[in-house]
Amino acid sequence: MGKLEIQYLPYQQIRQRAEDFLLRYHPSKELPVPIEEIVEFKLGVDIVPIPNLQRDFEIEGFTSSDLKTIYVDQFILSERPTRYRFTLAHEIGHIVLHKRIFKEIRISSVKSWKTFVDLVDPQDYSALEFQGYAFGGLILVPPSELKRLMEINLPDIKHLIKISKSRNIDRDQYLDYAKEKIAQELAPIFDVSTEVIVKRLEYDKLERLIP
Amino acid sequence: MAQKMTFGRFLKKMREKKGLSLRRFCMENNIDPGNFSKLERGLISPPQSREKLEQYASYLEIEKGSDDWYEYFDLAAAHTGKIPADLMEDDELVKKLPLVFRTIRGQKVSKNKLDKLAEVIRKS
Repeated sequence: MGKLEIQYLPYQQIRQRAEDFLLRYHPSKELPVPIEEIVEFKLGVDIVPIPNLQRDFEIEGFTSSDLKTIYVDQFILSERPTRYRFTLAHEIGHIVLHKRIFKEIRISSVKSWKTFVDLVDPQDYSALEFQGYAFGGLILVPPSELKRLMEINLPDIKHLIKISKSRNIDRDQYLDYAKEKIAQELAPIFDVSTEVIVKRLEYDKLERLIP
Repeated sequence: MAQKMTFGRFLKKMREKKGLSLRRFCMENNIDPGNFSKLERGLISPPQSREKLEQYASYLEIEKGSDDWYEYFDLAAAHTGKIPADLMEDDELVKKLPLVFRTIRGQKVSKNKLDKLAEVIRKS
């Protein structure tokens, strides 16, 4: 109990799984990705809001061990739509990537569940969470769309970069600003936070397009 | 095997027909999503008042006098007198317990909070 048979998936592999998922459940590629509808109507997973889940347990959401329900903090569902969307996408990551692990763990009672949660190796836990996080970002911000929209928005940034260079400001110093600026433009299109876009620019190595 | 149609399942079917997610449907109609989710899952009884039932029917755009209209009211009536299982049995609860949680800091939930969490899930 407590040792998970975790497969350490490289980012490229998670990316491929996310692309396969979108091809199957959202082939139109229309943005923003209708994640709630995919969860409820295409995957047939119930969404159950729980009041004060975050306040009392610091939990934003979780998937039931039978993979049929995603529980979410009710305040996030009602008041933080981009956070809510990401929570759902992250949980889908667990459903898609960790189905086998979930099925192999046989929890027979609340007591055995508590023992399991207590004994899970923190590194295994972090790996599962990272994979869910990466998958969530990849389905809400599909790689091909991110690259396409970034290229459309680059000319505006290049103008600012030109000014920076004329003032002898190094790339290292304006890079964060440039990424944030792009994220501000793209986040509403994907209906995610700017933080998700910035992370994706880094993971997908798209920041190299910024001169 | 097809599941037996219940009032809650019918609500969800009609919401799905409109293509409205739980959040959107509840936001648009100023309904508490926690309660509506419980209604859909049969954890609380359909509203007693005809007025309230008609209000939900209008939100779901169920046409008055249509087959859906009659089925909706029949299912609500069929539920009358049944006491919903407002608390999950242990074997059902075990299936709903999480193995990983999305926490703010990406950390595990402390052991002393797990009993409380299980009870919250049981009531949700």
